[in-house]
Formats: sequence, structure tokens, C-alpha cells
Amino acid sequence: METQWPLVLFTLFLCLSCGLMLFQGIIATLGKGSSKFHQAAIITSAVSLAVGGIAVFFHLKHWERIFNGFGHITSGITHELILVVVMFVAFIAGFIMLRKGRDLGRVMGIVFIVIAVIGGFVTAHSYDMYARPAWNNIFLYLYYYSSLLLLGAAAIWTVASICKEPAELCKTTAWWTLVCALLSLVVVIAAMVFISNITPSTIDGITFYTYDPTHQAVDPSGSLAVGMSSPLFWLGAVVIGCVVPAIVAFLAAKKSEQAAKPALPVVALLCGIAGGVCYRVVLYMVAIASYVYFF
Amino acid sequence: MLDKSLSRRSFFKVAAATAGAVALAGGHVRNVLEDTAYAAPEATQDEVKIIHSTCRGCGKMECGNLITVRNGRVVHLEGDHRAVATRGNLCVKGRSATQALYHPDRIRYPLIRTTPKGEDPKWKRVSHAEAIQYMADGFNSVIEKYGQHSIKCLHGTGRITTYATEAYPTYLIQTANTGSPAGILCKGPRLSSAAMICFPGAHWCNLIDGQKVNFQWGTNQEVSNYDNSCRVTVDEHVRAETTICVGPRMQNLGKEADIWIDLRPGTDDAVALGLLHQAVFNPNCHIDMMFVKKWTNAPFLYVEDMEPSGWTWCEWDKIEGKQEMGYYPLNIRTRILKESDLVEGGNVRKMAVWDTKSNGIVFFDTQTCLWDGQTEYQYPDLEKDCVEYKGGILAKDPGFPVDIDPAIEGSFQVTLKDGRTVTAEPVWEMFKRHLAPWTPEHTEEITGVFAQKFIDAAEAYCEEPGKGGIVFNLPLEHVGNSIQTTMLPLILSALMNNIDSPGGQRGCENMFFTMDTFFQYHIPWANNTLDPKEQAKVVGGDRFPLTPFFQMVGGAALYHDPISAAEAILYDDPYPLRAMISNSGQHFNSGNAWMNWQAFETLDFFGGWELWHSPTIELADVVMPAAHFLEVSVLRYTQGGEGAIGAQVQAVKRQGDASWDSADICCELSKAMGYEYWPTQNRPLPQWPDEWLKPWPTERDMLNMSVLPMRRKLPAKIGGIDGIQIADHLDIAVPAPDGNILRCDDWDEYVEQYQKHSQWNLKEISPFGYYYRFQWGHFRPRDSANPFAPKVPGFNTPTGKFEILSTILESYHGPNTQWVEAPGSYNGIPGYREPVESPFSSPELYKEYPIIVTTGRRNPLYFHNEGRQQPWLRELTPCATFQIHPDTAAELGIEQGDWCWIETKRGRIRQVADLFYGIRPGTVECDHQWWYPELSAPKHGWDLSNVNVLVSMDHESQDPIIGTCNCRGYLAKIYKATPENSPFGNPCPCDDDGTEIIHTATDPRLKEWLPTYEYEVI
Amino acid sequence: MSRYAVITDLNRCVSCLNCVVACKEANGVPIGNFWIKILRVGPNPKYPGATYPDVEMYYLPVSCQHCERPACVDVCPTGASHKTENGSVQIDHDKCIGCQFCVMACPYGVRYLNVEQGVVEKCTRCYQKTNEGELPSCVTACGGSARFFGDLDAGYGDFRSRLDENGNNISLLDTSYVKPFTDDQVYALPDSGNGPSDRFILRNRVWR
Repeated sequence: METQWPLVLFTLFLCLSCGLMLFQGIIATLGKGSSKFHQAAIITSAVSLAVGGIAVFFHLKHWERIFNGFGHITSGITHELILVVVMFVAFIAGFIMLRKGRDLGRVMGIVFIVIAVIGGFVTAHSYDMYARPAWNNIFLYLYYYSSLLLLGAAAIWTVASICKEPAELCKTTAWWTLVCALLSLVVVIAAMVFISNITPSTIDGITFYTYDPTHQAVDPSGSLAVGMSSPLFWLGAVVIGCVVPAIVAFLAAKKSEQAAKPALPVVALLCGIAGGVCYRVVLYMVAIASYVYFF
Repeated sequence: MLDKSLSRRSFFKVAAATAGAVALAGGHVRNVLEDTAYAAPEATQDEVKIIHSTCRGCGKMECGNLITVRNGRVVHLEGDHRAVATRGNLCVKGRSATQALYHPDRIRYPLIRTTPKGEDPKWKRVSHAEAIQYMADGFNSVIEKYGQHSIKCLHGTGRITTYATEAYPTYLIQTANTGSPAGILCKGPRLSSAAMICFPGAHWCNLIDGQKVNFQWGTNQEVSNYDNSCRVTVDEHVRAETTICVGPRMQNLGKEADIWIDLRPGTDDAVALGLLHQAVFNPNCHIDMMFVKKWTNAPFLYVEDMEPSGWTWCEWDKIEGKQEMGYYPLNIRTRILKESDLVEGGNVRKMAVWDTKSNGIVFFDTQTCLWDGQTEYQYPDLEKDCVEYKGGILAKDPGFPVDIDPAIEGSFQVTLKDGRTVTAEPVWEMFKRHLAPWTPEHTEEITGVFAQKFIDAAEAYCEEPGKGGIVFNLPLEHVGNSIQTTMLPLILSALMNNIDSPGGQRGCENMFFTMDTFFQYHIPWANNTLDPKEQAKVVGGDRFPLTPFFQMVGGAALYHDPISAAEAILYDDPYPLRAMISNSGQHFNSGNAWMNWQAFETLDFFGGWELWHSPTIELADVVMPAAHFLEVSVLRYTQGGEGAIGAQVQAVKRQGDASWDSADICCELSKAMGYEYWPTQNRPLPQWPDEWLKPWPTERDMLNMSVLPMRRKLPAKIGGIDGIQIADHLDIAVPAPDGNILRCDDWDEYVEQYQKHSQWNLKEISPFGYYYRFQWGHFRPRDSANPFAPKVPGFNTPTGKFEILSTILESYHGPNTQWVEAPGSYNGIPGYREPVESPFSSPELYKEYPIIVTTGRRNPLYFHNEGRQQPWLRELTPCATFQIHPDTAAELGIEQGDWCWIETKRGRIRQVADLFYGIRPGTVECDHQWWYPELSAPKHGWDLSNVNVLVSMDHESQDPIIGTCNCRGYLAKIYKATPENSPFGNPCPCDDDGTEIIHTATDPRLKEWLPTYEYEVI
Repeated sequence: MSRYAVITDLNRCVSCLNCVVACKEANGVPIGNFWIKILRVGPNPKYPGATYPDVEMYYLPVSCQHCERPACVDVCPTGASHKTENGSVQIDHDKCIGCQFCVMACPYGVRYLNVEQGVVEKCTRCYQKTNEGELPSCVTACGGSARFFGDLDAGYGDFRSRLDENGNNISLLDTSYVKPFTDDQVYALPDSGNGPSDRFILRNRVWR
């Protein structure tokens, strides 16, 4: 399938936003982090969500009818819309609390964690459709969670370092980033191996009456195996998206003074974002229809 | 109305047979709106008309249709289920006709070029009158300088629009170089060869009558709708007991065939000989011996050891041998034993057979078609011999009119008039000898088809006589043996008594004078005016001596050899050919496209009419805008064997200065050139009313003329005979067997009746109603000046018989004639010719060019080079493709969707690979006739993918009898197009500035071709 | 509730493409979009190891299958895609936001975005006609008279095709047009639990 850029960006920033929420929730639950840090985290989260939300408007052909989008509860988009609303409500509630000088506290922390966990599920679930065998499996969920974790960890680390949070917190978030990056690495590779081994229900020996005869008789924009051979996957999603953040986080995790400076976390976050974009694009490349009839 | 001009014969239960027609005539005429599935308009203020008409979206099927016109605009076309020939069929070409009618790029105004030929013509719009005068001056100046034959025709498949263009230059300007060169490789050979041995058009079958064996040979009618519509073809294929398909690739309907004869391209003649071998020698095959003995020349005695002798046939103004368009004398010289060979003063026309009953020679007079002792013509007895079948009259053969039983086997000693005793044997013996080598094993060697398939196919088809005809089309004409190859299936069909049987070789209505072509197509009727000596000057006539005769056969047989024509243009050999008149003809439809292009570029004057800025017309000096078929009224017959008559009814006004070429161009041009359109030679045909004896008819005159034979009362009096009586004996004015007849006084009345009735089944209203019309005398020409002369049973051939041994072939291309002997033939019995380029005939060439190319696969979207601008069509196949077996492709490193070079020693083109297991490994099938209207003038990319860039322009590979170009079955090499070996570094074909062609359905240029209504005239 | 469907006799289908073009005309389908498409299935070997010429082929017209449990309806956020009383799946243009998730979710690839209108479209089975008791355009236009429209719940006898010369619709059970077939020669497209409604008759060949 052709890459749907608005959706790539939407899921990317939704994962980033949810990831931030998740780690912010954990930190809040642990009773750590300054008010400034939490405010900054919420703002980053909200901005990220807004960017994703704006991106998605470029996907919709009739965004003015967006409120129709609550019309059908089985739809993933409806779930996402609800999620976005709930997230913004949580952000506002959290932000008001912080502005009033209160801590987020355990309850809000848990609320954030729960929303983030649900958010990861909702993101993946929207794309879990049997028409797309590459997506219609557990690895789609695992990936979005791993993406959520890596982006969230790198982002919270970045926020912590910029907000000059204590080196210990920065170091902890660097450790989280390292773990998430490694997890991501495993998930990403495992997922693509899995996808490339799916046997699609192609019709045996079918040849097409093509509407563009110059294309191959398979989905011209990809196949299930294309991910494994794509530099976008290996260089983008694996190396830049996982290995580099892992190395960066590893370096920082060993040295607190490095962890507390924004340079490394920003690199980790940007690489995580770049890798996230790459992998999502690859996901479209492999998203051929379950019955390979047409392209 | 269907008048009962004769009393109904009680014998026939006509009511049942013609229920449809009679019921409607009886007054139950439903509102046309109720009849249609198409919804009535919602907005009541809209003016909506539904017009019953006939489609002309392709060249060749007369699909009855319903045209919805809303507020003066055609909005919808659909098939008319009552159309007897087509059963509601309407193909995608017809369905998309509005996208042609309202296409933004249609030529709508007369144009004159402003730049040298070979460049973008930068057309300048002029008025209709200016353009006509310009064209007249151009042609006249060439004629003045170089004479009458310096003008040639180029004609595509007419778009009604008219066939006047084909004939006009001959009848008025008197050039011999008439006709449509397309005809030389499409239908022309079939018409010509059938005219030689039985009757032109015999290749057409009437599928609507059903067949026990559906035998499709080199056809794709289900998508081409070539003379049998898709609907009828599929219906009857499904109903048949057995289906046989001959073709080198698995075809659309061929996928359902019980027996698929998957021949090597170019070996159709071998396949036919292999099947004939079975028919004759396989004891499970049961030839109709009565037909063979009585109606073919198989029993005629032949003496090889004797000088041939004969007579002149088809002489000027003699009725015998007259063809549709006139006469051209042939010198028949045969070794068939004649009375004149046996006794001094004997009749050269009397041919001998050996009668086993009297154990002696009996003569058949080939001029009168009477046997010795026969005094009156024998017709089947309506009461005793006939039954009604599908609206027609089916007679069983009453047997010999005299008490004889001709021998078809054995050999006999006869004493010639010079005293020599020689051996004479029936033609059948020679035929058997000719077929003897074609065992299944031998045929398999040549054709590559498993031997058993010939046995299976023959045993199915020849199990008993009368299982149906053989539908065969172009592929048999395209491999340098067009005349002989197209004779062979007819012979096979004839042996099984399928000539003009139900579902048999029924032919076409106007080939045997049910309707005069001159009426039908508004041709200036100064026919028969070109002296045969002049006709003989047709280019290529020296090499192909029968060409002038075939130009008399009519239809697409009005051709000349395009290779000789190109040589005449380029080298003034045998005389200068300096001007061309064209009706939608293309330079790339025959022979080497580049040679034609270069030749046409040098013409002194070229004028034509066209709907589109197609490549060839971009070489013209002046182009007139042709009217679209939805803008023209015309009488329509089924060209093929289905036997229906109807009308094409103008649905909307013509846009811009679009012209109906019969009246608005041909007639006006003749006036401007100083010729009278009709009657030019003051030789009116007898049935012409005096008031029409005027030089330049109007459109109205022409339309009224086309239904003239249907007039209730004709004013003419010829030789004291009342016009009405004459009419009763001519053309469609001859009623059907049960007396039904179609009557109308003028075009408007005809159209009015058509609106109510839809297509008429010719079986119900004309002599077309008889099957086996050779039994009734409907296959031989009649004397219009003597309408009461008896109809002569038999065929319009030199022997009066269906000729298994073609005496014309023997006379002109037999052994020891002045011209080349027909390859593989045996004294005029047709034979096999190996393709000029093949693994067997050119093994050296085969090493370098190891792929056999065939072409002409039908795509339902396109009629040859048409339709490339219509978005609904183009988006479904946006560029040229070729089919290749995946194993062959793998050897060549070619994958699905690759642009590939296909190269012969003459040129190379690019097409896209389609991997297809249904084609023989080592063979490819290339799309034909591609050009890319989105690319710039003058070429519009015609040389990028057009398959005729690959074909030869040499005399060696031509058919030796008429010169059909070798368009299939030649050798090529194929390799992937890469940036390195492609212009602009782009494997995809590009314009001169690097612009890619359209190759995907989503190309935005397709949307620019959607209808525009800017030019509407309401 | 009825289950309207199109049954195609694949042995009669010759890929004349009339269904495609008639559909475009009847429904104003944009250039480049196709509510129905014809696949060429094969040629494939007739049996394992078979080579040319022992191959077989059929054409497969595929359009919206008007599934019983349509995935496209599930993913539609607005309810624009919905199942109607007669079993067909329709799209309410006014509700569609053009998110194209239905395009992704359809396993048969038969939904297209109408770029000009910004909404997703697909085969409606010509509801403007079928609601009036007429047949869909792809059925009446079918060159090979291979397509029949009717209600599966009412049995094969309910399925009708184009008009014969007397103006009566051809019946799927009229053996002069449709050779006899058995239930095991009637196929549907692969089912992922969505329940595609169209049926295809294929005799003497492997359904692939």
C-alpha cells in the first residue's frame, strides 16, 4: 500500500504522546520530578498529540465532518478520537493541578499510565484488520507498544535533561531509554521476520488484467517480504531507530553527567522518531491485501 | 410494414416461425420507452428521446442499439434485446461511443496544413467550401500531370461514413488503384479465395441458427464482435455439443474449448490439410458424398497429360461470373477434361465426369449448369423436400436431376481428339493424393500440435454432415499464403455439407445480390465503367494478375498491393503514383510501416477525412472532419452471416463542420473536380427512377436511394416491363419464401418502421430465407434487364461448382503458367507454404532471432488502432503489451511488467511483457496497431510500439497470389528495455521531448479526454 | 432481510469488460477508479506438473462482495458505510470523512477514493436500478450473459440476467443458457469471516 504520511505522523506522535504520559505517570507515581518538569512533560505531550492530530487532518478528505467520527463505536478511528479527547482532558486536569501547585500524585500518575497503556492498544487496534496480514497479528501491538516505550523514554529523558532534573532521574530515564531501545530492537526485527514469513492467501498462479501493465503483477508498492530487504528497515528502523538510541542511552546510563545534558537524549529522541517513521513506512510497504487481487 | 404480397403457402406454419415479426406487424407495438431497461428521465422538463439505431463502435458488427438522447445530447447507449443478430449485445466500444462523439480532440473543422510534410502540420482551419476546392484542385493537378492511375486510395474500416471512398476514385476518376489496402490482409483474402471456389463471404457463419460443433479458427469473436457478436458467440458456444478452437494461444472463449488446436503460428494451412486428411481417410469421418458428387468439381475428370484449355470467364457485360462490383475477364485454362478435348468442335464448357451407372462419360455444361439430358433446372420441392427451420427454408437435396452416379475414385482411359489415349481421373483422386502425406504425425511435425488432436477434432466435426460451419478469420491470411489457406477450411466445411446450412458458411446478404452494395453504401453507381485494360494497370497487377478480378469481388476485396503501391510512390515504378485519397486509413495497417510513412511523406497531394489526428492524416495536405456514427443515418445490413437488416439513425446534429462523407465530401468533391456523382456514364441501372437521374444527389436522395428496392411502386419502365414487376425480381424486393416482404417508400418511413420493429431477420423477408441457396439459384448473378430468366442453381465459379480444385488458381498460379505457382498446391488444389521466416525455412536467421512473433490478439477495448483516446477504454489497457510464456521470459530475464524490445531484422519496438502460460514457449503475441495520441504530431508515437514496424516489405514473403503482407509468424529477438538501451535513458517509450506515454489508469491526461460539449449543435 | 447477490457463470465469462465500462457509465465512476474489475486467473497447469498446452484459465469479475459481516463497516468511524435492509453495503456520501480506513480494511481491494468528492465509493449494485426492481448494469451489459442478479435466500431460481429476444429475463436455471451445475461448482471469494455474498459458478476447472 502507498504510504499514508498523515497516518504515519499521527501514530508516531500519538505513541510519543502516550509514551511520555506513561513515563510521566511512572515518575509521578514514584513521586519524583519537579512541577516544572511535569508541566513541561504535559506540554510536550500535548503538543505532540496536537501535531499528530493536525497531521491526521491532512488525511481526512472531509475534516469538517470530523464530528461524524464519533458515529460508529466499532471503528478504530472513533476509539482514537475518544482517546485523544480523554488524553487532552487528562493533560488539562494534570496541568491545572500543577499550576495550582499540587503534585500530580499517585492517582494522576496511575491515570496517566492507564491512559497510555490503553492508548498503545487503541493505536495498534485501529490498524489490526484481516485485510492486511502484515498488520493483523500480535506484532503490530508489540511494535506500537515498543515504539510508545522508546519514544516515551527518550522524550521523558529529553524533558528531564532540559528541565535540569536531578542527574539521577536523568540517568534513570536514560536506563529506561536503553531498555526500551533494546526491546524495540528485538520487537522490530522479530516483527519483520514474522511478517516476511506470512503466507498470503494469494490465488495460485493468478495473473492480472492490469491497469498499469508496466507494474509487476503483485502489489506494486510492496510485498510481505520487501521489508526484510529494505534499507529503510535495516538502516532506518533498526540502526537509527533502535541501535543508535541504545548506544546513546548506554553511554549516558553509565555517566550521569552525560545523562543530564540534553545532547544525548535529543539524539536518542530524534533517532527514535526517525526510526519510528521508517518502520511505519515499511509497515505500509508490506501492507498488501490479504487476497492479492489487485493493487 | 410486412406486406403479404404473395399468398402465404399453406405448407408453412409461418405464424410460429416468424412470431416476433408478425406479432409486431399485427399492431402490438409497445412504447419504446417501456421496452428499455433504461430509466425514464426524472426531470419532466427534459426532452428525452430513445432512438432505435445500430452501433458502429467497431467496424464489423451491426449491434442493434438504443440511443438515449437527452436535451439534444447523447447520454447513453445500450443493446437492443430484440435485435435478431445480436441479442442485445453492445460491447465496450459502443458503450464508450459518447466519449468519441464529444471528445475534445475530435477533428471538427476542415484543416489545411501550413508546414512541410514530416513536421507538425500546424493545421489552419478553413471553410468547408475552401477545403473541398483545395482538395479538388490538388487531385486535378496530379491527374493532369500524371494521369488517372496516379491516385491511390487508403481506406480503413469505414465509419458510415461510407464505402464510397473505396470506390469513388475508380468510378469517377477511373484510377485502378482503388480500395482499401487494409482489405488485403483483413477479409479481402477470404472474400477473394471464396469468390474463386464458391461465393465471397462464405467464411461468415450464421451462429444465431446454432451449431452442433462450434468451430472457431483464428478468431476472438467474443471480444472482437467480428460479424458474430459476443453474446451470440457465447450462447452458441455453450449450446454446441463440441467446441473446437484453433489458435496459438489460449483465448478468452478458447479457454472453454473441448479441443484446442494450439498450432505454431503460420501453420493454419497445415492444420487444415491435417484435418482434411482425417475427413477423407478416417473411417469415423463421414463426408456428405451427395454434396461432393453433385455440387463440387470433385468428380470432374482431370487429365494431367494434356495441354490446358479453356475460355474467358466473367466477361464484360456477360451475366456469368459477374461479381458484386462488376466484371473482369479471366482466362480459364484447365486440364479438366472437356468435350472440346475429346471431339472436334466440342464445347469447352462441357466438363466430363465418369458415370458409374452407364459406365461412360457424362458431361456437365458449366455455362448453363445443366447435366447431359437435363432440360430444366431442378429446385427442391417445397412440399416434399423442405422444412421450415429458424424462419428459413431448409431443403434436403433431391439428388441428381438425371439418372447418374458420378465416380469420384478410380482412373479411366479416354481417347482425346488428337487420338492419344490418356489417363483421366476424378479431381477427388488427386485431392486424396494431395492429402495423403498429411497424416497426424506429419501434421504434428509441422504444426507442433499433438497428432491425436487432429483425429479428435476431425471425428467430432466430421462424425456426420451438417454440424455447422467453420468460423475463421485473419490469422489464416497473415503468413504469406492467404489465398490458399483461406480456401482450405471452406473445403473441409463443404465436404461436410455446411455450405449455407443452418449454422454453416452462410455468407453475407449482398454477396449474392439480395441487396445491391451500390444502394447500400451510396457509391456512385457508374459501376462497370472502368475498362478492364485500365483495371489491369493496378499497381502490382503484373505480379498478382488476379488483383483486378478481386477488385470486382467487392467488400474489402477492393484492394491493391500496398507494397507495390509504396514502390510506385517512391520509385515511379511502374508509373508515378503521386496522390492519395484517404478515409480513416493508416499507413501502419499493412506491410512495413516505415516504408509506407516515407512513401506517403513524398506524395504531391494527400487529402482525406478523419475523426482524429491520427498519425497518417498528419501527412495530409487537407483533412475534412468526418461525422461520428451517432451523427449519421445509414442503412445497415449485417456484414456477416447472421442475416439482419436495420438502420443507423442520426441521433444528434453534427458538431462543427463535421461531414457525412457520402454526400458532403465525396459528392461535393466530385462536383468540384468536374465529375457527375451519378450517373456519370448515363448508364442508369434499370430500377432507377428518372427523377433521380441527376448528377449530384443530396444526403436525402442518398438515403432514399438506399431503400429504393423496398418501394411499393417504382416509376421506372424498362423494356415495357412495369417497375413493380421488376422490383419483385430484384434485390430485397424479392419476398421471403412465405411471401413476407419489407416495404417502404422512403428513408423516413423505413426509419419509422425500424423504430417499432428493430432489426428484421432477412430470413423472414427475403431470399436469405432459403438455406443452401445454391440449390435455388440464389448464388449466381441474375440479369437485371431480364428479371424473368430462370435462377440457375450452382455456384458463381468457372465450373458452376464448389471448386475443390480451383480452376482460377490452376489457370493463373498452376504449374507452367506465366506467374508463380501457388506454393504447395497441386494443379489448383490449395496447399501448404512454410512461413518465410521460421525455424525450418530459415534456420540461420532463427539462431539470431529465436522467437516466433504472432500478433492481432483482440482486446475488447480497441478496434485496431481506435479507442486510444477514450478514457474508459484506455484506462483498462493503457499501453501495448505482449504475451510470453514464463519459461521463455525466465530464459530472457524478463519479468511481468517489464518494457521489452522486440526486434526483427527490420526494426524494433517496445511493449510490456505479460507472462502467460497459455502461449507456446518460444512464441510471443504482440499487441497490434498501437499509437499514442497523447504524443505530439506528426507521429503521435506510432513507431514506438506498433507491431508493423517489425514486418517486411518484400515481395518474397507476400502471399504469391494477391500480395498479402506477412504480418505474423516471423522471427524476432526479445530483450529487456533498460535505461542504457533506451532513448532518454527511459525504458518507457517517450515523445521526442522525453514525455512518457500514458501507461497507467491514473495518468491525469486521461481526464483531459473526457467529453466536452463546447461544440454541440442543439 | 434478503441476501441479494450476483452469481457469475465463469464458464460464460470471456472478459469482454462490458461490466467494467457499463458500471463506469451507470455510476459516474471516476477515471482510474474501478468498482468492478476482471482478473485473469491463469493460465495455470491443469494438473501438477502439466505444461503448455495443458493449461486452464478463467476470468474472475470482482466487485464489492456486500459481505454479511463487512470489515469496512466495522472500521468506518462515521457510519457512512453501512449495511442496508436488503443486505447490500452502501456508503452515505454525506457522512464519509474520507479516512479511507475502509479501503484498507476491505480484503478484496474494491473501494476507491473519489478524489474530487473526497469520499470513498464502491459498487452499490446499482441501487438506483435495483431499488426499482431493475438489474445492475454489470448484469444487463454482460457480453457473455454470465452474470445473474437475485436473492440468495430465494434460491437460484430468483437469479435473472439480460433480456432474451422476447423481452424476458434469462433465468440462471435455464439450461439453454446456463449449463447445469452442482453446488460444489459454486464458489465464493475467500472468506475471513466477513461472509462475501457473490457466487461464482465454475465447471471443469480448479477454483484457485
